Amino acid sequence: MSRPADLVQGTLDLLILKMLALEPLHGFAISQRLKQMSGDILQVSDGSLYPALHKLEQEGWIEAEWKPTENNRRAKFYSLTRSGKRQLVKETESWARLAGAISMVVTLPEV
Amino acid sequence: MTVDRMRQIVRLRLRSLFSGASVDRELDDELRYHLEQQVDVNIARGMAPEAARTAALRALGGVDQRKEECRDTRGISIVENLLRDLRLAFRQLRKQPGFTFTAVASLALGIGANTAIFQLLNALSLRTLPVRAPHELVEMRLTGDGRAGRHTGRNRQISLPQYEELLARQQAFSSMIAFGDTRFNLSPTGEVRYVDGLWVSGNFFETLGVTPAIGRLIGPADDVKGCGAGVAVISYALWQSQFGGRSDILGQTLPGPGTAVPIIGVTSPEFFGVEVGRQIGAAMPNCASGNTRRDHWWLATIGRLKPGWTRAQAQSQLQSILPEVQRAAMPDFRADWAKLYEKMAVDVVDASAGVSPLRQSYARPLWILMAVAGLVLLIASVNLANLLLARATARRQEFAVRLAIGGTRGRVLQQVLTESLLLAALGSIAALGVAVAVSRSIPPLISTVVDRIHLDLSMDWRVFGFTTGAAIVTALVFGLAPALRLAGTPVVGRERSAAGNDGAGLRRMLVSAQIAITLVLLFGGLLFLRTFRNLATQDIGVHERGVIVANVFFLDSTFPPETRIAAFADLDARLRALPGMIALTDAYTTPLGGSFSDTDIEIDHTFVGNANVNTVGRGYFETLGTPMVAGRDFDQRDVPEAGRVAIVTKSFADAYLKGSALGKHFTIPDDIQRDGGTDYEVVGIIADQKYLDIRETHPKILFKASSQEKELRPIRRYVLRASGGAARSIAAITATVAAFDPTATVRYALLDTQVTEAMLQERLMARLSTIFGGVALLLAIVGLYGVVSYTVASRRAEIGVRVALGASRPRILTMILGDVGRIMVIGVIVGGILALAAGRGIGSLLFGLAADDIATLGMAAGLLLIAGFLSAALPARRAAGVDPVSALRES
Repeated sequence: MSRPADLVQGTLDLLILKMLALEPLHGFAISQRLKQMSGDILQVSDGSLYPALHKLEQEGWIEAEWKPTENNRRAKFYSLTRSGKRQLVKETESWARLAGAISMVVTLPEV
Repeated sequence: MTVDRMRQIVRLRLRSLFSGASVDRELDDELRYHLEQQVDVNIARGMAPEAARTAALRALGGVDQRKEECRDTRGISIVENLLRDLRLAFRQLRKQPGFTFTAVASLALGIGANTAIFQLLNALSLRTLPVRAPHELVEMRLTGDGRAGRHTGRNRQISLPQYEELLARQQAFSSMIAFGDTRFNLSPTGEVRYVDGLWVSGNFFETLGVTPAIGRLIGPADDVKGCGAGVAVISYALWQSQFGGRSDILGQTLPGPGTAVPIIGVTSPEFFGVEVGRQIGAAMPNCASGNTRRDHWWLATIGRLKPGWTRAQAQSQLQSILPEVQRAAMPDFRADWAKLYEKMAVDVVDASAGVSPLRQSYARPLWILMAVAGLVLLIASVNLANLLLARATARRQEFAVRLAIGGTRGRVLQQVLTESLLLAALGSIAALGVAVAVSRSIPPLISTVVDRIHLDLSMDWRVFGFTTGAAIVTALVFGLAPALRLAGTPVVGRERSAAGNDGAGLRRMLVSAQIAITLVLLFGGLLFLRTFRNLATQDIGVHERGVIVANVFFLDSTFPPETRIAAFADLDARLRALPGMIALTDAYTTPLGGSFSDTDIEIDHTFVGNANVNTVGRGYFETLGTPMVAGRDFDQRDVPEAGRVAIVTKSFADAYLKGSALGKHFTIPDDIQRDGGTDYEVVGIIADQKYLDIRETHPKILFKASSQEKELRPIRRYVLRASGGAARSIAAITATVAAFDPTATVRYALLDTQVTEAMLQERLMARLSTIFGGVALLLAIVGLYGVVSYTVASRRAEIGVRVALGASRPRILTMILGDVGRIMVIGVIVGGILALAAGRGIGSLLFGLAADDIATLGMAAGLLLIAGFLSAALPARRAAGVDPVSALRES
């Protein structure tokens, strides 16, 4: 399998939720944003983006609406729902705990 | 989970379920938009259009895969899986039409038979009357001895005076109705045409809450003493069939003998009466019946319980007032009988489904048939389980592959069970057709020429619920074992040698079980068949073939009672003169004719017992072919003025007169019509003949001479033999009677039909249980054949080796048949034990043999063993004919 190494389980969801918390976006915009924000460090393939979006929609955390874009094309815009906002808070907290724990472990002084 | 989120989830699931195509289209649009944008960006970065597109596609990683993944995120609903499984199951079944047909047909038969019997039970016992609040209705019954007097009707419990006294004293019911079943003749002249009818108390319709379709119904004002001929209400069915539904029916009269009765209304369409199995044509008030005798038992009662009263409370209240009621209603009764009347036990039973003697006689047989049908279905299911197990073995590879590419065992189980449910569903749809055909055919089987059985067999929620339930249970029974076996398929390491024996042990066990159940059903079927045969070959003491019974009614006649003797003698002579007439006489009743009368017998002022009574003309015994044992027939000496004479059956003479009966005397103490009882001299003894019931033994019958009657009823029942065919005789008699008295009506019966109709229940049980037993045998044989064939096929290589090593053909044959024998012997032993246990439940329905009749069990087992070995013979011969070279080469 030549797919880029997947993000840590659930991280992509968290990133999408965070991005949509700022403003409603369509899929392509999210993909562009992801590349800009994380540069080469996080490789998020366009391929895994759409299934993730659909999954979040099915979970009820984001909802979609077809709207015209800035260049007047119709695109599917996703936005965060109320329960999505709560989910974001929850996932952010757990991410913080996980990140903190890992960084604590890896920064342990080697004696 | 918040409500909003839930709503959104449900909306999306429903959307992907029901408008999958539009969701897919949307997904296409979304991905296309992404691609176009990406291509634009790539071109802007300086790539060539072709390369830009390829790069965009590669970044997305294949549009179709992405689409599939997106679909997967929403395709997790159970319903969608189920639909997918159903489509797959349909495809599987279409691929194997032979298997599908066998499965669906055997399920249709099995479930259909069950549904049919259930439909009958439902119509007979479960469905409530179409009246207001049927669950408040209860019937009062009296049990106890000593109900002497006149008995008419199928539901007789009490007399009119008793009802009136009860009404005055009871407290349990908000109202209490009384009704008597009867028949009304619709034909003013010639051969009679009856409809079932009811005499009803004035509060009958009001209490039941029955409404008129047109006109009004009988009310309290219509049922008062001295109402004369009264008024009539007709049923909706009669209104439609006889009067064409015309609205000018009101004020017309009901045709028939007796005074014409004005029709005042028509009942609502759904009302059929209160007796399940009967459709009434008309109802008239009790006061018009003329049945006022205090010892005339003809009424049944139904009460509507007051709020808060239970059946038990009603029962104890009625029981406490019973002695008073009886004393008031029967003031001048003999002391010893009065005591019996006061001691009668009151029983209050649920009447939400009406009253029904039919239910009393058929509910038990039907429950037994229900159990039998259930066992047949079980055998059919086991057959299917066997078929599916064989298929499961063949499909192991398919499922191993599914598991290997990530299918879960739960999903595999679900898929296989879906197939079973689909089969069961198809089977039960076909079963409804089978059920309708079967259940419709039953009421005619238990109807007699005079009594038409009418059962409402329409489908209702109970029948559909039953069929659905039966289908689901069946699907689980036959689907679960194969499903579990398949779900347990190992992904790897499927060893070749084991494949042949997969499930073989389980399948053999199932066949043994089938054989055991089949033995139970065959045993039961044979018991009922032999019961019917025993009854049919019963000596009823007469030669019934060719005997015609003609009942002539002079109800409308102008002959006053005192001229009847002379008038009837005239008619007798005219009929005797008809061409082809061989013998003609008259009788009060005929063997198994349904009318009965019984009386106490006293000798020297000592009560010795009861006897049935028949009053017959000269030549009665000769006409029926009953031999005279001793003494003489009635003759010209026996006139009203002479001393009373009697002829008795041999059993009567043996029991009461110690054999040497001729010339002895006895008295009938309570002959209501005459005072003080009458002394009879026995002048003749005849061989036993049946009176009312074909099952009776040692009938004690006393025959009086009709020539000694001082007063004749306005009904003359002729018993005759004539040459030239029944139809010609009937036409000639009808014409002669019409010429004699144009207002007279005639009803005919053939004595042999009358005898056959006395065995309707036994005939039904014999027929259905034999059919069910036959179906069970067929299914079991198919099952056995399947298993033996399969075993032989999978042991080909082994048999080849044996033959190559010198085993002879008979030896191979013995080996295979020995194997079959083991399966069958286990089945027969277990089945035999079960059969003897099950037999206990049907003992009371048998005649002439016991429920643990070993000979019958032996017959059933023998039949089963022969059929089993015959079915195994074919595959066994195939095994013996195995060519070792080709068998070994194949493996």
